[in-house]
Amino acid sequence: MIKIDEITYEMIADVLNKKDYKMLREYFEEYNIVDLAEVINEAPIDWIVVMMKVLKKKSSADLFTYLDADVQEKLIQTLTSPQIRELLDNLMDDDMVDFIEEMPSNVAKIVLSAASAQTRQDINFLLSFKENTAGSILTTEYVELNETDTVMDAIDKIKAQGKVAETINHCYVVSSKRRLIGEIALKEILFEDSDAKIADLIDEDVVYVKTDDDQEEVARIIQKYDITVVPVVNDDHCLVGIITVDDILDVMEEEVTEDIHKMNAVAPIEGSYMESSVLEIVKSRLPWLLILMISATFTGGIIAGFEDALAVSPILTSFIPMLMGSGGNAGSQASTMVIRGISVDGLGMKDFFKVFFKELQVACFCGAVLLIVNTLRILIFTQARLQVALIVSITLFFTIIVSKIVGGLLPLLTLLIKQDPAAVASPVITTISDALTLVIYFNLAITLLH
Amino acid sequence: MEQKDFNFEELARIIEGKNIQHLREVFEEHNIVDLALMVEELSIEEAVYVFRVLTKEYSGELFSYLSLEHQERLIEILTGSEIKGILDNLYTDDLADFVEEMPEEIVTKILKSVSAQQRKEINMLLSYKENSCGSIMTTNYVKLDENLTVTQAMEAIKKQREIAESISYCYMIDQKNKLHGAMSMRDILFAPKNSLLKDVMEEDIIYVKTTDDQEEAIHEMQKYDFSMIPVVDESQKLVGVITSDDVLDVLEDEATEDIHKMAGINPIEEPYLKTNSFKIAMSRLPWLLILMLSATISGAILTANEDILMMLPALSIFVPMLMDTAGNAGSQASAMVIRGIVVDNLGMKDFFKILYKEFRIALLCGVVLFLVNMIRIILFMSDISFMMAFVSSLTILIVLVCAKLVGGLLPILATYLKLDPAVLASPLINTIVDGVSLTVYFALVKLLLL
Repeated sequence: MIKIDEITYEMIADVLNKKDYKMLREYFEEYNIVDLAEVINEAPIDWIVVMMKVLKKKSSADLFTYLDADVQEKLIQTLTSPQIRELLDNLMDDDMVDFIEEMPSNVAKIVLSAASAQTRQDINFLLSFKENTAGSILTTEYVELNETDTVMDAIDKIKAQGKVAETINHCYVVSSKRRLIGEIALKEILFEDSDAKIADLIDEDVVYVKTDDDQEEVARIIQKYDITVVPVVNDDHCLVGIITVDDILDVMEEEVTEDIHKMNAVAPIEGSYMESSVLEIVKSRLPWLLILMISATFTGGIIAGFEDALAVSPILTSFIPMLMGSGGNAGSQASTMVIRGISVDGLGMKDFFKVFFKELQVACFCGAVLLIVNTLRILIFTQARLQVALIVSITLFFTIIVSKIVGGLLPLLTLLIKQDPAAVASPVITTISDALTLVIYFNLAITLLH
Repeated sequence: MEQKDFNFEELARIIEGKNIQHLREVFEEHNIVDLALMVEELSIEEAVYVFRVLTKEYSGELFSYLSLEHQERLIEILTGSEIKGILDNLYTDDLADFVEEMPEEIVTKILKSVSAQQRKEINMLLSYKENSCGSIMTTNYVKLDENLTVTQAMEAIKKQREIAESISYCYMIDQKNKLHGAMSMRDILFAPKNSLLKDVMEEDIIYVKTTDDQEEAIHEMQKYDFSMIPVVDESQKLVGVITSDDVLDVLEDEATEDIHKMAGINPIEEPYLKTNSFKIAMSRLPWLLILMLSATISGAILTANEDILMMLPALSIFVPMLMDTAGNAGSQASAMVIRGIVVDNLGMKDFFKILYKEFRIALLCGVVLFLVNMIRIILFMSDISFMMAFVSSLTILIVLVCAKLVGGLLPILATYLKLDPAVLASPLINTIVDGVSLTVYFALVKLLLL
């Protein structure tokens, strides 16, 4: 990415010191608002207050949307009520809700009391949807047409509603009872006869979601149908809003982050790594560390139970880390692929046996290669006897098979009991495969060495 | 959710009855993505029949939603002119994606059937490196001469709208095809009819180059909330645009790739169930082998301390716990930091911030684990001496700090060395922290217990 000439902090500081507000407004015409906000985040708060006053209403609202949450919070505490109201009137309502949700309750209260009755009603409506549902990410700013409209009416409406709408490329057509009956793309309207009936032009087979659908479901539908906007209806099939693809990008990214965290034994955490406090991060990591520390004691217990065998052949101990490590890795490889398959390709219990046989094949192949390599390297590089080498390698083979099958099937089984597959991933599988590995190892050793 | 008022049985019945009119109506009425899924269930003869009777506008779209194997089989059977009819209506980026996946003889057949212009565009798209912006862009977009008036522009858009993937953004060029500006359809609609585009267009445009990595495009689109981004070549000439639907797919693929790499799986493109076992095994084997061999280091540490283990066999009980806890703590930290690198652009500049943050997190987690481990050994494991409990607990504390620092900082170092942080993740970190944890353990034992 290259930009022709970048906006810098010095440039902003310069115009503010000179009180050259004309130039400031020009900057806001010229430069991208995201870049401007990035620079202005660093400015002292009273500067930003001045900017909010002298900028055009739309620009100051845009600026506010892209500022960091902590800067927004400070601003709200500094601005007067009428200023806040003016700001709110110019914000997109989904941006407004996102911002209020981020704020501590005392700041949210300031905002709500400053808002006009209409705005307050809109905010409360959007806040009433459960988190992670389609309702919680929809915007109510879209172009709505009536089935009785002509093309000319439609273009007038688009011009009237278009200033605030998130997108005008797709317009939604409702009946007199506000039921969603179809959609029409802007490019289909613009070039039609001005007295053609909208009802004759609409696409009635419109893909939509419901307010209480999960946002992941929305992401899947948008992806499946290659669309950029999806309308949202309530239980009565009345149109209440739209969801645009830019919101979905954020949803997808959050979901992936959550999955990656869970697979690595980190409980879901809101906010980015740098923004989260140490205590928040500790809280998200500590539970699994504790659980796994305790559960690993069972593995220790198994070792203690076979102390006699270890005392006779101390060399057996030196292979324990390798066996446990390989089992853990093999298991998490399998679980990772299956978990990703569940979220991307819709794997489920119906595929139980397919997954079972696939993992069995993969494990036999991987296990056999590891068995050969391991036997060779023990014989060539260590003083261990052939018998010991075989015990270790055969254990390795079984470890791989057990771990891969447990790793592949456990995520599917968690679906059955309606748990999140990512949450029981690698760490749990590691513990299970560790224990099984050691039991196989020592039993083989006892049978073959004595 | 989408409506389910049409099912496979009905489609099969219509095809069997050879009711061409009815079949065409079905394709006008219902969603093409759903229909494509049904067509995949048909026998190949039936599918060919569908393609022969459908009008061009639907057959092209239907074709683009079929799976690769179905596309391949269809191309084998259809005649040159039939193929041309289908491909004429495909967007060039879809066409290039599809050509890329096909075996050579199919590609030859396709290239023979398309128009010279299409062939040129396909070859251009195919010449870009995989994962570059050039490889995912489309050449179907609206470009306008900057010297047109708004009225003339509307005429030009009218002409281009059928082939353009989206008209929500139009791009302005000079005579030499250099990108000079952009305008949303909305702004064009609201602009004074007689003004020249170059006077009203947005000039601070965000764009990417054909050679940029596709992640760069996603990053920019996400940052600026764009649904489209223009792509230019080295001489600033406009050559294509990237649309949000392509970005969603890329985002999903990249996430899968990262998740796989973190689990020590080499990237694999097809869905889990469609990939054969041998291929899956090959993607998993390299890391299994590497980690099996590297775990020998931990084994060697154990062997080196055999005398101590013989003297105090109870020590071995804690070995699995120490190794597992270290591994988990390390991968928790690395997962969060790797995700931070992808999503929030963490980098070398944040090295000390991360160091300090992980240090504090580790201390807090470590103290809690220290206490819990002490207490449960004293309460439940009467045969372990107090000193031994203290040594194992202290080891946990130290190991946790090491593991979290290695896990948090190794990915950052990897980006600095231009290596992929995800590849260096959990498996490798595990090996390092395993070795560290055993070394610390035996050092403390020697210091405090002997």
